[in-house]
Amino acid sequence: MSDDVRYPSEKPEHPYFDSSFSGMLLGTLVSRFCGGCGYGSIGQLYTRVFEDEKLDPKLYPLVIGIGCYSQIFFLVHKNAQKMLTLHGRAPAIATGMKMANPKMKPIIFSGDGDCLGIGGNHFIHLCRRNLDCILFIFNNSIYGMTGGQAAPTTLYGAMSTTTPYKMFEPRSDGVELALAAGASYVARTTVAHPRTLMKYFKKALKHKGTSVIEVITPCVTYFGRKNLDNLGSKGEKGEIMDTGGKMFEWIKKNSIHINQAKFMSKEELFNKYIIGEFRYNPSKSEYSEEYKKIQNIAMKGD
Amino acid sequence: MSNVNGKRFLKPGKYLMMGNVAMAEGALSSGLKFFGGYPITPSTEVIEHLAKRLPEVGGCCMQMEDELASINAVMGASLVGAKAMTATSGPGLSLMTETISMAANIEIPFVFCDVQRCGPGTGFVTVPHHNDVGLTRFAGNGEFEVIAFAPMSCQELFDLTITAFNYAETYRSPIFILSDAYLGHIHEVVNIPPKEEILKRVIDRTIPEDTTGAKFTYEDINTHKLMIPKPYIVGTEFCPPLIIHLPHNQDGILMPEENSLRFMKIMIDKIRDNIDKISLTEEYKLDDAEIIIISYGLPVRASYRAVDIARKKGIKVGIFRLITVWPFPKEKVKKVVAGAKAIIVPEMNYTGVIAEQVERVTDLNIPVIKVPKVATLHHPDDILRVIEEVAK
Amino acid sequence: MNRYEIRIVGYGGQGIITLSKMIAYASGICEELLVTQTEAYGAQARGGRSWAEVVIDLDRESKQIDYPKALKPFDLLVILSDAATKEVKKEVIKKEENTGLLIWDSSTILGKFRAASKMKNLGLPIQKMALEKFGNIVYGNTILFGISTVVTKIFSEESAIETIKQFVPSSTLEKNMEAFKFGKQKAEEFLTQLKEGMS
Repeated sequence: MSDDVRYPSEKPEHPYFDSSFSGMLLGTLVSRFCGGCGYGSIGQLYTRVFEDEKLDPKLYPLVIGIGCYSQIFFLVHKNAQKMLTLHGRAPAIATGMKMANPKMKPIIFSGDGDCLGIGGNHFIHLCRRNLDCILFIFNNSIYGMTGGQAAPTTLYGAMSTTTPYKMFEPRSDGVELALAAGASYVARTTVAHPRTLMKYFKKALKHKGTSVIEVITPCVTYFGRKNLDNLGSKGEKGEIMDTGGKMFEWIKKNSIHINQAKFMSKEELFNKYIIGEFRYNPSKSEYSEEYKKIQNIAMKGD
Repeated sequence: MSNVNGKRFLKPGKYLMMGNVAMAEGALSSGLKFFGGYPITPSTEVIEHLAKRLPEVGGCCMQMEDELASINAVMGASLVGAKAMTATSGPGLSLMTETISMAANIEIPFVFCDVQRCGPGTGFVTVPHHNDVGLTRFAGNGEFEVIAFAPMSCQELFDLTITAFNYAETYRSPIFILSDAYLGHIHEVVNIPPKEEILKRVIDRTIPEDTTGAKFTYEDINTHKLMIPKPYIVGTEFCPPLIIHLPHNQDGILMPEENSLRFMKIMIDKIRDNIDKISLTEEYKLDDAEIIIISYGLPVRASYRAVDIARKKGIKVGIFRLITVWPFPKEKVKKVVAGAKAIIVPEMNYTGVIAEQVERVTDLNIPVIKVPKVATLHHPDDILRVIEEVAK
Repeated sequence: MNRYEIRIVGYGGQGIITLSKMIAYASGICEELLVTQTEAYGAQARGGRSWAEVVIDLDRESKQIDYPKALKPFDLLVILSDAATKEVKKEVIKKEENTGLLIWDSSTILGKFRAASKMKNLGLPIQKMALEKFGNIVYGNTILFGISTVVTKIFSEESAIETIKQFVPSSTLEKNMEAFKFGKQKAEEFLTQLKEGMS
């Protein structure tokens, strides 16, 4: 080993240390997420994009729904103007904000129960209007905050506290719903693909229209610990997913890229997540711009 | 209407206006910028009129997918500094209560117009029934005080809507206007004052020069008085780093659980401490009255007539009118009813929500007589009959 | 308090609500009297039975109209459909000499209308006349307004003309003025007949 190779005497400073941990403002530095949870990564990724893109906090308010992820406000960029809203109503509040101040581009954090359960209607109509905003759906296929009940997105065969035998309902698919409702940018990725997530987020920031990004994220405490990685299907030996690592592996294994999925049968895709970009349509008319035209017509008339 | 010019203010003068339209125009005069609504009989004229008028003044009128969305959109708009309101009827109000409760917590000002119809359930949709009076008071989970106005004519619908918006800015609590299916659809002459006069009355939404100050109501350390700062606006410097609907301090930072009582006290007392300023009442021939009519909304009109006739017959009767129904002016009513022979409370509901409040502050030996009417109006004779019976 | 009660009943599309608004406008805005107008609401107004009511307070001292709906007996009752004739009974019209009048359209009421003969009444084929003279049944409304101007004696002719200008599109103003004059003339004829009959 030659002499000119130097090792730093201490760890390099965390480049986003100053901007993350808005918890400092609230007097606590403790993340409230369980071990293995994906929301910490998501908060950090949001902060990185926010910092890298130098977003103006006044124009990019963060609207947070209700769920486990609500606690993310402890982790995201300290300058972001964050508001905690009601369960499922975040898209409606963002609609009001955007229309009262069209310069804004609200970023909405919502969960699977939030957006596909209680707030399904608001989600559909947000996509229908193609209002300029970014909607994240954090899909951990379980209701984490209330203690592990089944969500509309819970996979077939999974155990939860309200499906103690097994989940038998068909699941709802946020991406399919967004596509049908008319969102102009729709993508799905997972926490196990953080760079893709950042790429989609940055693309959504430049896109004018509703961007829906579904993020598959692990819940070890209420989903992983109670389920085998084959979700109880017969004939296969499953392994219980009781650590974050195992859940990350499972998510990677269970996610299939859209290009690959084209060549797979329905049976093969059962209980799988298809990831990738599903639609990118920048030419679709955006609601607040359309409304501006209506205002111009109204103002011109007597 | 053919004689509306495309500006925020109507040309001063007299207009034949529907109640719902008068209310919408009152809102526009006070600077309404966002309306989110969902059509529901009998409030539809409000959204219909504003869908035409709001874009003219550069505002936005949105027909949302349901009542939940409309109230949330209204709150979102108010968060970013637009004066916002919604209009609905009883069934819509019961859906909206969740958000009203949240708005009370984060002290977002908005005006809420309730054109009441006959319930419960779907009920008769085109007839009046003051059955939401209790609901507005207790709308939503949690403890908070609301302010509710009860206008009795189209002119008052216009004027009180302006007052309601000012109250919303000042007290940062949910404000209700209790109209009803009749009042909403009557055409009456409304006198629109000149623009300058209206502007003098309107409190605008602006941010203070010093943006580091408190964003939420707090107790002043020296005077122990509750201070209500101007509403914060998301997208400006005057905004807390986190808006959260949990018990919080003046900067929006979470309170420890054991301090929740202090937070509740602030929520409730910011209205109760100011009740003398908030509560609007009207007195008619009360000086020597032995029989007192306490009422609000449309029945007051019939009561005036009944009192005039009874006075001619030599019965000493007067009216105490509540223009703001909530907060209930306990002390004022106590003073009015002291020494009365009897109290008559004509209300357009069977339970007598306000009658119960009156009973609360009246001596046990003074009878409180309810005159209930549902789906129809009080005729002056209905009230006169009761007055004569009591005077016997 | 000196109430003047007007009720107009017919079916949807006859212009009942417009007529009531015109009367309210002429007396409320032009003559500055207290006035309230109420109307059928909801599904009724679109088809089927429709009604509108106007209450005018002739007493200039009053502060407000105590009961905003019209009360029986009426000063002026306008019946424009067969179905509405059922509500006409002897006691629904005021008996005083100078008021209390029933106006009905003999071209839309095809059945027997016996109750009308028991009171002061003016039956004219209004819609038929409107169609024949002016080419469209909508002018029936203006004819009725002309009749109302004369028989109610609440608002002046100038106020009435001002009201018509507010309510009708300018392209049809001339025709409407003709219809208004026609209605006025019919009503004046009727009043002189009535006087002669009495004396």
